[in-house]
Amino acid sequence: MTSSSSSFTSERQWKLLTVSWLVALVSTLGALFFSEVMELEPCVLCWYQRIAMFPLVLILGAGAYTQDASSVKYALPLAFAGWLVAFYHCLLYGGFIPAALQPCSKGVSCSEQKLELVGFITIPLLSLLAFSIIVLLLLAAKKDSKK
Amino acid sequence: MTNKQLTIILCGIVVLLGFSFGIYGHFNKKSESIARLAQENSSVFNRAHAPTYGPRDAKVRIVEFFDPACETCRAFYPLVKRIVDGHQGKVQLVVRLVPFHKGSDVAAKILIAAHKQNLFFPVTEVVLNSQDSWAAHNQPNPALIWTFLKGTSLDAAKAKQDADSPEAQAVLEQDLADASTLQVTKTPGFFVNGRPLKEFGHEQLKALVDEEVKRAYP
Repeated sequence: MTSSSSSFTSERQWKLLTVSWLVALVSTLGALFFSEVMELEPCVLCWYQRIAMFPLVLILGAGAYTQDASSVKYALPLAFAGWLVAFYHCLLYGGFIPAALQPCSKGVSCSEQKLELVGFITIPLLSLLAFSIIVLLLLAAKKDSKK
Repeated sequence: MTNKQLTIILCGIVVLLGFSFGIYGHFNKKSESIARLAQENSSVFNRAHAPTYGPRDAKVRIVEFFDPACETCRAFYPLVKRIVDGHQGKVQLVVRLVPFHKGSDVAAKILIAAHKQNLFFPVTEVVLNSQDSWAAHNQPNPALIWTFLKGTSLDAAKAKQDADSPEAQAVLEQDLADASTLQVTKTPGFFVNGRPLKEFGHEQLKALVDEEVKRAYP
């Protein structure tokens, strides 16, 4: 446990890290595409999810590149925080939380639907999906390092 | 470098390439759809109600989406006028009003009313010169414009009536709808014979106009 080799990733852990990094990378670039290329202005809740997602690209990327298993424990809290905001945002979007609780009264509304790709797929749902995948992959990687 | 590190680098490159293609495709599609509108000589660029500067029979037409409260629009106003004047009868300017700022819809309606009295450009100049006083971003007070207009030949009583009329509202809504069709989200937004000004700037606008003048008057 104390030896430096214990922080090296196992083969399986490295794959999990790499895939979760790819998910974070695609999500980050996707978010930038929506805001910078399609010029949809991000709402407040979107920004909180971005705050969690953007650093994951660097943490997971550096972790996978250096095969550092401890990166999992640094990435997990971020991914989980992002997941919570995304979950809340989806509830708001879907109308499960009454409009009176909306945090955005000025500027861009968080519950205004901007993009439905194929029927029901919205930007917050994509975000929730990405955070869920990352959390699950990281939990699996964490379980590995306990063995 | 280990195989794993190489894998990470390659994955990164592939994703970034895909992203670049996505951006390229998006802008391609956007400029294609605007070019199609230009080819059809679509009325989204020009409406009968829009004020114009320069000769009617000019073959090159600059369409400017203009916000009376926008500082960059004010800075461009003399520059655009100079471009039109510099090409002696070959270029016409069409002004479309898109009040994106708070309170500038009131100013835009005053301009629409002034256009009815054939005073669009003189009144626009007064409105722009007094922009600092009425268009403060945190607390705009467009009603102040009327006091600045006292020195002009504008019939204020009639203009007030016209500014409040449903026609003025309809003109504004049409201009905003056309701006949205052409995906104009910032002001000033320029099109020269239907070609959007891709990279914003005075020199770039001049170059685009020169190009179109050369094409129209070989």
